[in-house]
Parts: sequence; C-alpha cells; structure tokens
Amino acid sequence: MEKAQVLTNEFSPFNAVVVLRVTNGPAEETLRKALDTLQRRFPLLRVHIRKEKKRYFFESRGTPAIPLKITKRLDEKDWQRVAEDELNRDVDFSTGPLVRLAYISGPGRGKESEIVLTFHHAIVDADSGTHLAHELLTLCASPASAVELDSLEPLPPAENFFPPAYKGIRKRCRIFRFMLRQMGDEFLYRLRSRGSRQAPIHAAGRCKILPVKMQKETTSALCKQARKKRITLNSLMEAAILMAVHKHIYGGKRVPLRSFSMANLRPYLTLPLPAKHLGSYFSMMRFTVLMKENPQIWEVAREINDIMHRSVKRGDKYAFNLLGAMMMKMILKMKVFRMATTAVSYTGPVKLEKKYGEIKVKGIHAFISNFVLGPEYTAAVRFFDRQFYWDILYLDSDMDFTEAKVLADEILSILKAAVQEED
Amino acid sequence: MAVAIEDVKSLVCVQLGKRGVEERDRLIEDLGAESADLVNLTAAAEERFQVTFDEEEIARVRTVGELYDIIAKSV
Repeated sequence: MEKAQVLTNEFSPFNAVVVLRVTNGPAEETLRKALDTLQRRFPLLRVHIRKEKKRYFFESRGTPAIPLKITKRLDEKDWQRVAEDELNRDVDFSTGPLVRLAYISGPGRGKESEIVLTFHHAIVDADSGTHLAHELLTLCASPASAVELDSLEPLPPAENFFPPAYKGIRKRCRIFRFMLRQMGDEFLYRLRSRGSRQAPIHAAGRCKILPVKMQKETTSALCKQARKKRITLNSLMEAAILMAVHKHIYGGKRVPLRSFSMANLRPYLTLPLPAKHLGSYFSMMRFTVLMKENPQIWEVAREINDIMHRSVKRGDKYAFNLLGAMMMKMILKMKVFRMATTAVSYTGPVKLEKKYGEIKVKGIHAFISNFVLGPEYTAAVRFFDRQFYWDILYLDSDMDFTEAKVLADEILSILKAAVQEED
Repeated sequence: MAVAIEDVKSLVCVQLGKRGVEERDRLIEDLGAESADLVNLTAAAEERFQVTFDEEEIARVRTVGELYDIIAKSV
C-alpha cells in the first residue's frame, strides 16, 4: 500500500492533512520541542524515500528536522486556506521528512489556534495519525513527559503480518479468485454504464475542502437507527454520499456507481499493531452499486452493508492491499478512467482527549488529497464531541463551491430524513 | 434485570458463530469480528438486555468482558 501511495504522489500531491482546532494553544517554542521529541521517538518521522531501480526504500540518513511554519491567525477560516494549500503542495519525499507542521497561532486570551499536520500518506493511517496528534498535544501540555517516551523500531509492511490464508500458494489462489471477481465486476460495470455519463478527466485540478458538522441530536438518533437496522455507519454514509452524487451529478437515472471504502487492517494482522506504530496499515476497497431511480437510503445502505460484509469476510481487504501498487500503476499509466465516483472513510469516535493541560481541543478535521483520476466527491467522516464531522473534498476542475455545497446539504438532508423513517 | 457473564458469552457465540468464548477474548483480534458483526452484536445486546449504548462507549469495547461491563452498567 505504501508503494501505491508513493506512485500516486509522483503523479500528484497525495497528503493526509490533520487539523487540530484548539484554544489556549501551545507556545511556539514548546511546539518546536515537542516536534523534535516526536521525531526522535518515531523512526518514520525522520526518513525520506529513496528510489532505486523502480523500488522504493525508506532511508533515514540526512533527513532534516520537521518543518514548522508559524502564521498569525487572522480569521476563523484561515485554517481552511492553509489546509487546502497543504493538500495541494507536495511533501518532497526525496529529501524528507515525510511530515510538516503549520501553526496558525491566535492572539490574546483563549488563544484560538490551529495545528495543521501534513503527512505523506505512506507513513500514517487514521489510527496512527490520531495517535501522533495525541502524543503531540500531550508533549505540548506536559513537556516533562518526553523523558518517559522510548524510541520505537520501524515495523515491516502489513503483508508480513497477514493471516496464513494470505501467504504462499493459498495467497496466490485467493488473489487469482479476487482478480476474476474484479474482472467480472468491471465487465458488468461497463455493460450497465453504457450510454450514461462518464466522469471527465481534467488536465489538472486543485483540492478544495468543505467541512460540515451534523447536529448532536441527529448524530445520536442516526447511530441508534443504524444499529437498530443492523447497518454499519460506514455503509450509511457511503449510501448518503452516493445518493447525493447520483441525484445531482448523474440526474437520478438508473446507473452503476462506484465508491471506495477504507478498511483498517491493524486489528486483523497476526500481530495486532497498536496505533503508536506509525505506518499505513489499511486497505482501499472498491465496490459497485446499481443505483435505481428514486433510491431509498436504508435500501442502498443495506446493499452496501451486505456487499462490504461479504467482501471483508472473503478477505478482499488483504487482496486490495497486496494489489494496490499494481492497480495504481495501471490507472496512472492508462489515464482513461476515474477510480470511482465517491469515497468515504469513516473512522468512528476520535481517540483524543478534550483537554491536554491548558490546551482544549475544539475540533478535529482530516483530509486526504485527491487528484484528477480519483473519485469525484470524497469525505472523511469521524465522531467527535457527539457529532459527525464530515470533511468533504472535491476538485475545482469538477465543481465549484456552490455545487459542492448543494451536494453536502443533500447528504445532510438525506441523513436527517433517514432518522425519521419508520421501520 | 440482572445480567450474568454467561448470558453475554452465549450472545457473543450466537452472533459471531463461535462454539465457546472466554471473557478475555478480543472481539476483533481473537474472534475475527468485522464491523458489521460488531453492529449486529451490539444491536442484539441492546434488544436482549433492554439497554442503549452510545458510540464512544461501544468504540471502547475490546473484549467479551468489556461488553459485559457496559451492559451490566446500563441495566
């Protein structure tokens, strides 16, 4: 998976950007010290990537300190401009480090500030990115805790920890069956999508963000309703985003649409990896849904739920991870189709405290760069402070802010209506 | 309603298709539960024991014993 991310990054910036919105933000020198401590503790924060004969290696020699850019906070939306810039600007993997930080420091009492962490996606996933943010805030609140932190050894890629069914000859058989299923899916998709809209491939596009929050009452009711209907929240969110795009971009016609979902591999590996070990231990899983005219949210969510459940039970998450680099190479070489229509990453409740000493965490946002061959509309969703945070991302070549906002409003309205629906 | 650990273990067995489980068994790592299995399990627990969980509470549950704890606390 790391190789797939490096290949993507060679084509277009492919960063993970985490925004911590805080009050009583740390002093600049405290933040600098905390970053230096983290860089000593985590080997992947002091590496760059060396390319040699089409192979890639992490190398630690000569990697500079983590860059820290400090700006004064002028208004509420400063962080959105900074986050967009970070999403569109390469992390130079040949020199490293594969992380940088921007601090938007607010004035006066309360000191509303934002800490914007930008990673090359090859070194973090949702779990480890959140954990790193937790350690950073802990160090800022209590610099003395640095002495208790030991240095962590880097771990091999996920493949080394796959279950026995994904090793040796059994792995080959499973990969072969997986590829046959993918080819079947591709054939059906092409057959069913003949004559319908094809997502355009633009020469260039900048990532734009649109963060929205769902009300606490709706969030709570939605969680209960989804559980009652035995549907995962990830499937429900996938359904909502697909329905919004289907209605406003595909004219609500009968058409197959594709989406990506993320699967966290960490707990399923033979050696479960705690979040403190940085690395990219996840899989991107693609699926196709045949959207009907006037689709119903719970029906679409049920279908996605069942597709995903069958897929993970078969072990497709391992196959997607193993074949990620090959598939990405093919997509980038051909440049003839978009990978999917939508993508959703729901990571559940955020494992961050609300308070670190004097520092209060007001909110957390996360975005993953997209590019011209990627999905048309994507969202990273998480549960924080009893609310769903939808961090939506689109390309300015695909739509403008108004169009993106129409889709976001549609998503919220679909989910609000879903709460009221009776059994 | 009093809840016994054996009731919770039996519920986990039925929902995850296992013959027997221990209190210390981890739902994902040891019993191989996927996210849809966890939704089914928590929904079944809510119905069976007449309790309601919140998302953060569920996310903290790692083992069969911890599932029992949040049920016992809620009844």
